[in-house]
Order: sequence, then structure tokens, then C-alpha cells
Amino acid sequence: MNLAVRLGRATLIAIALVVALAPFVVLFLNSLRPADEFLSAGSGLVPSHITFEHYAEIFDPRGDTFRYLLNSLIITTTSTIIAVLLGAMAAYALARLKLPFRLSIVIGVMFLVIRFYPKITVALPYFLLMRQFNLLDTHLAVIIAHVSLTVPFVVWMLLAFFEDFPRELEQAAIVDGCGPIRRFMLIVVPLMTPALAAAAVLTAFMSWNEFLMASTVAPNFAKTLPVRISGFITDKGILWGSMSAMSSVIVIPVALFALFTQRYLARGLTVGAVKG
Amino acid sequence: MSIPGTIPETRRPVGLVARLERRLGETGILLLFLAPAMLVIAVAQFYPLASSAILSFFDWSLARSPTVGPFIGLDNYARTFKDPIFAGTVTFTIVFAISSTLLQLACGLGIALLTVGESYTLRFVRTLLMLPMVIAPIAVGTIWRMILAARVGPLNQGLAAIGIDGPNWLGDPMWAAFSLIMIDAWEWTPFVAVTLTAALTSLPGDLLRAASVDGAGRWKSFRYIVFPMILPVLVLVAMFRLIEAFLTLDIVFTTTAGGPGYATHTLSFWIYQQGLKYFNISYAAASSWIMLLACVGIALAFLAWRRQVGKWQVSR
Amino acid sequence: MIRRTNASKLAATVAASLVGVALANGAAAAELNFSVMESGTYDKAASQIAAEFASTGTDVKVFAFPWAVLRQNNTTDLISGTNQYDVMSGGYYLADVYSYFSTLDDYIARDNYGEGMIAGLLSPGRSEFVAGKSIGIPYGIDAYGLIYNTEMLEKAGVPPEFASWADLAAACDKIVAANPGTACFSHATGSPEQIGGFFFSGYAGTYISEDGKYALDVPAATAAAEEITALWKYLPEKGTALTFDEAHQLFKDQQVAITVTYPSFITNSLDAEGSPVAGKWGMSQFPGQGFPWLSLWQLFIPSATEDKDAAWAWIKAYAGPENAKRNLVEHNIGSVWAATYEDPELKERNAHFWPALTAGFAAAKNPPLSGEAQDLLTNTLQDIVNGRVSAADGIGSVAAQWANIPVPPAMLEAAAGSDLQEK
Repeated sequence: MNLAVRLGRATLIAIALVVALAPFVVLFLNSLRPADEFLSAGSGLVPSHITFEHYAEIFDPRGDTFRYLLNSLIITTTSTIIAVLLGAMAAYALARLKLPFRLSIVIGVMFLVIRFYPKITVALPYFLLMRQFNLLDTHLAVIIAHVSLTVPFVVWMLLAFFEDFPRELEQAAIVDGCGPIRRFMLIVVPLMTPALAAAAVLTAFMSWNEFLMASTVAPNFAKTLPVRISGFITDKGILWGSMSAMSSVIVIPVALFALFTQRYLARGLTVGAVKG
Repeated sequence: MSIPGTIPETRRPVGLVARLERRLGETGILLLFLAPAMLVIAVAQFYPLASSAILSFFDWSLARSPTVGPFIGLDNYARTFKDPIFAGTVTFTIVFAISSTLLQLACGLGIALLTVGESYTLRFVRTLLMLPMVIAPIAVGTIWRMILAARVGPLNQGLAAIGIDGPNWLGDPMWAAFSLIMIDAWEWTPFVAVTLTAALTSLPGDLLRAASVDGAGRWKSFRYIVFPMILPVLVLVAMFRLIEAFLTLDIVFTTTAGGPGYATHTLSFWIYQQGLKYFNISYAAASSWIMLLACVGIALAFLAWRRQVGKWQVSR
Repeated sequence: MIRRTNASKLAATVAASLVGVALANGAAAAELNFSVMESGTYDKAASQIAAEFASTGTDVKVFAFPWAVLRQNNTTDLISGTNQYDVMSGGYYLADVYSYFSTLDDYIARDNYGEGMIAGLLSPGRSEFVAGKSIGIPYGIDAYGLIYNTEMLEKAGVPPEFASWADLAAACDKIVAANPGTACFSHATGSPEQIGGFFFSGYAGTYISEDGKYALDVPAATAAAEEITALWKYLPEKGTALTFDEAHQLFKDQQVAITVTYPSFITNSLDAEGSPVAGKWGMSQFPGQGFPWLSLWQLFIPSATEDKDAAWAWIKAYAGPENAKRNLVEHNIGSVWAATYEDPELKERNAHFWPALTAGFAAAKNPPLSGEAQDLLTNTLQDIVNGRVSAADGIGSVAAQWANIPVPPAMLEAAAGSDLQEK
């Protein structure tokens, strides 16, 4: 490559990086900006002085931020474990079952459909259902919702992996008299760890970020962080400082997590499209 | 990833698991594997979906009655077609979804071509470029609302610093629509880029080398070799993005709230208003079923197109 | 087998904790759940009073949500029969669910509760009624006001009296000419429903037809919409998506001469130490032949509430006259009690705006509109002022669609009470 092309390429990449990352910088700087600087023009990108008052406010021990953080952690962890477990079992079953009438394809498409409809359709009926089960405003209500939203995704993703899974490995086990449970636990799961990790990472992101279902079934006690953000939009105005601080609390761990799990994340995102 | 407690048994030759496997047989066990996932989905997705389908044929608005009213057949569906607001909403949603998807495909493809490669720097750049899509959509909206505030936001202040009088981003109907498209593209271009990078990486290297040996220029080898190879992936990515853009709700909530006026009401936002604000429950159910069917229609059309593309590719 | 036992123990613990959450959530004895708006005022006052109220043996738990969420939570709580909240906060926009509230006439009569309240607040069209019986107890009053900068108006030679929005627009020309580099007025243009404040005062017609359907006097409504459109030109540059806070800040920074807003949102900070406009602002009579938009926060007791006596005791503590002055001074919650406005010290301190404020309270009403009817009107008005549709077409479309929007029965009563139904 000659120099001009390399330089052009580097410039374009730099522009893309600025566009992608500048909003994060703005958010973080605003979380450190004094409250009275939000509403007047000419306050500049960098705050006149740095303040931690917004963080102090949202983490006021009398406040509920720690509870929301804990809720988000409990819900995300539990949903991820359950979704990946159920999803892996279902995907394995679908890949190995010889169902009549291409039933497994029908089931696969059914899973796909869940991705393709407005979630508001189910929000109200789901609310009523949780009420019947006496589960309103519990972690479990949100977890069930998140598992049901993410399992189809996990299945869809893992199916692509299972199709490539070398059957010969399982053949040997079958000869040894191993049934599907033992084959799944002893052969498939260990070899599929990277794929399962990819599924887990994606599921965790989805659950951590989900707003609509969580806000519908868990308005108080089991409230999650994304639902809390909307509370800073009051009828008078927007509490920009607290909102920036709270958004940073939600966004920064996810961004760091993404940096560490990049490999799995990319794999998880692409498998459906590139292989499927 | 395993069920605690089952592993020890599986290592015993004649344990509970082996007995279970014999008792239920291969198919029985596999069906048992499928059951829990199906159960959760049936309870938490398909049951509510079905109940909303049923409600859509009844008359239930809280302003009229606290309980479900009479069966009215397709009246709710007919009403949507006569509703001028619904029509405007659909138009905006289509314009929004298509423009935003095209923008993402263009930017995403550009980024994929720029950053494909295995060097450490490129991998790190790719990771950084992925960040917009991993954060909560609700936070994406609030961040951009701060940036786009017309009088005090950093974007317009930055533009003013270089002598440009920035637009009234969220206050002018046209600019508000443009802003939403831009925000959606910012958030989801990484998805397109990541997927296309994977597709580019999976291309056989000797094919590309052969092209360069043939003396094909950069553009020609992209246009006639690379592009056709990644087209099936591109079609699928376009489908995912188009449908998800069609369903956009969170960013509308936290940026424009559908305004000014009805200028940026997406279909999802409008249905949300009907269902959870006005409690026109059966009308909202009917509208969302129309939307569901439209989305499934789009998906089927794209899948058919992809099959065409695939066949064409094989025949070459 | 040991590991299995541990695992099942763990599973049982997890399950128990999840179920425990569900159970702990149900109300225990001597405990009241109170839903209120998360605003830094109503909710703060509620927590303050709840702490004092604990001495009565009733533990009040305060659940605060931003406005839109509060409304949605209250409504779903009632229609789903969840009954989590024993006392709810709200206003006329809860009309869809009035039938779920208990009537409070017996309590009001028993304690002679209405005595001393601002005249006429406990009547239909002001506070909420079902079948002629009171269901809502007012605790915070506010009404749209026009707040002006005395210096800037004097410079323009404009007296602070505007009979109509057209009058204000005419004055705006002079104000802008006399104060170069500033704009005439600011408003929370970015809150989609707030444009209603201009319409309800500028339009003198009725909202419900003789036969009980939503209807507008189309020519009068079109004229009102045109006046608002003309006025919108006098907003600050790029001022069509302002939050309340931004609109207020423009007034404080003396970038605008007038701000049209709910006074309780801003008056405290205008007089605060260091405020650049302290001592140089006033409030004038609200323009128009219609009415200033009333904001009347009320407390409701759902029929499903078990301990209604305790709920009523809480209402008296939170909304009653005892805490009214403190709520006003500390949280700027507009007192519904006439005596507060007779307090000599407060009266003197607030002489620059209280006469206009209390006159506004006396004239203010709520439009008898359901959320759906109101949103249709205000969103269309936004479309009109932003040039997406002409005033005639927009109002025509509202009138046509209103005919199909059901009028909640309580709104019919309200309209009759507030004289907003065609006769």
C-alpha cells in the first residue's frame, strides 16, 4: 500500500472513532459538570470545574441506586444463566431430533418470529399474567421476561454452531452406550464453551439494557437501572447531571465488559448472519 | 455451563442418568431438552401474544368500560386504516427505517472495509467502534438529547465555534426526523460493521490474491468479487436492521417523545401511547398485530431474496 | 450426592428469596403505600410528613415516579386489581379510572374538611367528582401564569396587561425593538402537551357538544390556533424544543422579557439570593377569554384500600391546613387553603405576584378532556405552529377525530360543572 492510501485510511478510521466515541466523552464530562452549567449557552464542552455532586447524589445511602444496581445484577446474571442453559439444551435437541414434517424448522422459525414483533404487543398481557401469578414487581417477573426474549436468540445462534459440530465425536460415545444427556454434558458442552460464552455475553447485554418489559412489570422494588434513568425526565425538566451520572453508571461497566469480551461478542453477533 | 449435581452421576456407568436415558429413549430425552425453553416462550411470549390477538377482535377501551366489551370482529383493524394519525405514523416509520438502514449499511460496509485485518491495532479499533451498540438504548437517547439540545448542546456550540449556525435539531420537524435517523444509525452501524467484517474475514484469501494477480484494480475486485461474495450476508443484515428500525421505541421516548407534534411518532411509539397511555387496549392490540404481520412479511421477502442471491451466486 | 444436596439447597434458597420478594411486597398491617410524583417537591414533602406521621402508628411508604410513569402505574394498579397503593396522587387525567376510587363525601362532611379551602375548589370541573360525589382531595394548586421582566417591559413602554395572545404578539414587536439581542418570551415548548396552556386560555368556546361528544367551535378554535402560531415567531431562536428549566433559565438570564409557565416551578428561584432578576419581575393577569390551565394535584383513595380511615388520616396530614405553609415555603407547593394567602409575612414578601397568582387560581379550570383527546389537540397544535399543517386543516382534523373519542362519564360531569359543555 502506498503512503497516500494508508494515510487516507488512517484519517477515515480516526473520523469513525471520533463519531463513535465522542458521545461517551460528552456523557462522562456532563456527569462531572456543575448543575448550573447545563442550561446556559456558552458553557463549553469541558466543565468549568469538576464536581462529583451528581455521583454523590445518586449514590446517597438514603437513596435506592444500590438497590437498583443490585436488581440489575441479579436479573442479568440469573437471566443469562437460565437462558443459555435452556437455549443450549433446546438447540441441541433441535439439531439432533428427527421430527416429522420438518417440525424443527417450524420451531426454529417460531423462535425467529419473537425477534420480529413489537414487544408492546405482549407488555400488557404479560403484566396481567404476572399479576395472576402474584409475581408483579419481583425479580422473577423480569427474569422470565428476559429469558423468554433471549432464549430464541440463543437457540438461533447455537443451532448454527451445532450444525458444524463434528458428529464423529458423538458417534464414539454412542457406541459406548452414552445417551443424549451424557453426550450433551460430557462432549458437547465442553467443546462448545466458546459458543456458549458468546451466547452468554450477548444475553447479558440484552438483559442489562432492556427497558420496556422491566418498566412494565417492575415499577418499584425490582426496578432496574435503565428504568431508573427515565425518572430523571421530570415534568419540569431534565436533571441532566444526575441523569448523566446514572447513565455513566450503566454505560461504563458495559463498555469495559465489551472490551474484555470483544471476541465472544463479535462471534455471537455474526454467527446468525454469516453462517445461518 | 452445566446443571450442578448431575455431573457426578453421568460419570457412573449405571447411574440415574443412564437409567433415565434408557427409559425415555433418544427422542424422549431430546424432547425433554426442548421442553423448558418451549415452556418459557409459550408462557411469556406466545400466551400474551395470543391473548392480544383475541383482544384485538373485542372492544376494550378503559374510557368506555373497566372490563372487556363485546366482540366486534375486524372493526379495530378497519379503524386503523381510517385513522389519519396512524397513516402518518406508518409513513414516518417507513421513511425512518429505510433511511436509517441504508445509512447504516453504507457506513458499516465502509468501516468493515477500513478495519478488516488481524493486526492488534485494527482489532482494538474494531472493539472501540462496537461500543455504541452495547449500551442501553434508553441511555443512547438521553446522551443524544444532551448533545442535540439546540441552544445549549455541545454539538451546536462546537459548530458555532467554527462559524456554523447549527440547526434546531429536535425542535424542527424535519431536523427532528433527521436526528432520529442519525441516532439510530450511530447506535447500529457497529452491528453492520461487525457482521460484514466477519464475512470479509471468512472470504478465501487465494480468491483475492488471484484477483490481484489478474491485475484487477481495487474497485473492480471489490465490485465483481468481494461484493457478490458478501451479498448474502448483507441481505440478512439489512433484514435484521430494517425490521428492528421498524420497531424503534426507546430512543424516541428519550429524545423527541414523538414530537414536535406528530413529526416523529414511530409506529411502536404510537402503539405504546394507545395501549399504555390511553388504554385503548383492543385498538393497540389490533395495530400491533398489523405491525407484526408486516414485519414477518418483510422477513419472508428478505429470506426469499437471500435465497435468490445464493442461487445466483452458486450458478456463477 | 453431597454436591447434589448443596445444589438443591442453593436452588431452594434462590427460589425462596425470589418468592420472599413477592411476599414482602404485599402490604403489612398499619402500613400505607402512597404514590406521588417524583419532582423534588411533592415527594420530598411526603417523606418529611411521613416521618412525622409515623408517631400515629401508621407507617407510610412513599413511592415516587416521574409524571408519565406515575400516571401509568396508578392506572395499571387499579385496572389490574393489584391494589398496591392505598393513597394515590393525580389529577383530571386519571378520568379513565375514576370509577375505581371511593367517594369521600362522608369524610369531608364528618370533618367539615372543605372549610377554609380556596373557594370553589371542591366542585366539579376543579377537583374530581363521580356521580356528584367528591373523590379527589386537593393538595397542590397552580395555574398558568405570565411572568415578566419589569425593566425590559418599561424600556419598551409596554404595560404588563395583555387581553389576548394577539395583544401579546403586538407588544412583543415593541419589546424586541427596545431590547436588542433578546427575544420576547420563552415557554416549555419541548413538553408536547404544554402548548395546551395557550389554547385553553385563547379559545373561549366549549369542548363537549350538547349530545355529550367531544366537539370544538371550529372557527373560534382555528382563530385561537392562528394567534398561537403568530405568537410562536417571538420565541427565542431555536426555542421550539425547550424544557421548563431551559425556558426559565432564559428568563433568569434576561434573554427573554416574558416567560409563560406554571409559577410554582419558578417563583422561588427568581427571588432566591443571587438571582439576576430578583426585585425586577412581576406577574400579570393571564391573557385570553378562555381560562388559565389549572394544575390541581389531588389525593385519591382506591375503593380496594383496606384501611380507609388510616388513608383519610394520611390525607389530612399531607393535604390539610397544618402543613400547608411549610409545604409552600420549603417545597413551593401551592397551598389550597385560603388562610395561607392571608399570612401577613408571606403576603408582604410575595406582593409582586400573589394578586395575579390568586386571581389565576380563582379563574383556572381543567379542560374536560381525556388523555387521548388532549394529546390529539396539543400534538396537532404543535404541528400547526411548526407549519406541518394549516390551522384550519389541523383544527378540522381534531374536530373530526374527536367525534370518535369516547368522553369518560366523569368528564361530562366536569364539563357541566365548569361550564365547558355546549348548551
